[in-house]
Amino acid sequence: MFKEKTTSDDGNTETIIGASVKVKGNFDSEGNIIIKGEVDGTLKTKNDIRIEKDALVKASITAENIYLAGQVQGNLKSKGTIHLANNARITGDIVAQHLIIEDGAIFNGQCKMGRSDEKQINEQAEIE
Amino acid sequence: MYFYLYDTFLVNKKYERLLSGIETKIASFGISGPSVHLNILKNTKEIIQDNINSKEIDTVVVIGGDKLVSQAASALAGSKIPLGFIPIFSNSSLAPILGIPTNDFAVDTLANRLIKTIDLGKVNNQYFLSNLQISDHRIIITSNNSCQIIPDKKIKQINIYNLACLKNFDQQSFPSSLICCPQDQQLEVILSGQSNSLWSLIDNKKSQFDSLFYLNKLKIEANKPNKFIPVLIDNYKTIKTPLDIEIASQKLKIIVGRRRLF
Repeated sequence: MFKEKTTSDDGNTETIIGASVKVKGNFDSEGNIIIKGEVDGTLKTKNDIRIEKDALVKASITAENIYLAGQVQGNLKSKGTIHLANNARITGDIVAQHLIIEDGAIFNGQCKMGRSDEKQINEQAEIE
Repeated sequence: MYFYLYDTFLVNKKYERLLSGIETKIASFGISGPSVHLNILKNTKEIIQDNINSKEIDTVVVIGGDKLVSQAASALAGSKIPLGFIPIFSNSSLAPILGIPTNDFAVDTLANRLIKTIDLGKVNNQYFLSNLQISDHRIIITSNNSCQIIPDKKIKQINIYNLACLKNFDQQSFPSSLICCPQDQQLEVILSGQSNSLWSLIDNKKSQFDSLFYLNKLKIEANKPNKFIPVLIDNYKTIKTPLDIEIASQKLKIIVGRRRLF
């Protein structure tokens, strides 16, 4: 039980922001992030972010892949895939290589897709 | 040469036979050395520093409990001299993590002399080996000067771990694999609430895991001005907020067993 850190299958450490915690400010991480609570600010990681069903995120999010099942007011930027689950609610723009939107998800914002290089993400950052 | 430090509770006659067996085994391995039996009047740090300065001591060994190990670790922070540990009976929470068996079986581990360098935590210029514990949610954690972590009233306990064995979590809510590794240059900050399981009504110690952060530098203060929250260091010493916590630049060399958990 104690031989490995809390890891995903690819061996990255996992930060867990639980339902009873609020994070305010700029949160940077190297590993995966799982959000079940509240975040207000910015979220950045080199790996993946998973936003669970009852989570409330008022932040701009940058990650490799993003899975959203909760509520986000802010922009999502991904070099890989953004997956909006059926109870996802997002008010903000999306920049991603791939986008999956399940039936029932609500997305209000602009979407840019297709290019996987960083130029697209940097352009969006400059506009902001 | 080995230097042995006996814990205060070992003066009790009921430990005489056990200690005799340990000392015989130490002699048989050829790792005998000078020793001091502690009492409440003696300062652990001063005794260790006096002895390692004046004699040819190359190892300090604690015989007793976790509190003395923590005190000795503070005294040996940054030193080239490794710390050994012979835990007495099975109350130690550090011994399983370090892979050290109890009583005279620990002498074998000591003689094998497998030395690892591990992190120490630092809180307000004091070292801690294992963990800090806060049993109050009315705090604000500021991480790496960039964001605040604010627990709500459902959080009953906040632990900051450097080296720990996590026993008391409700297993259903706990991540399937977690290690508080003392070599990762990070502190594990775990926020937990009261477990909802039926078992927790009987065993009040069970906690429900809520959040986990990996941080190397943080500040903790009460959420209201002029309010001070007590914090327990290594399960024996209490200080009050505000706290500046980080991974210390000084490391600790420690003798471990092969069955260690890191």
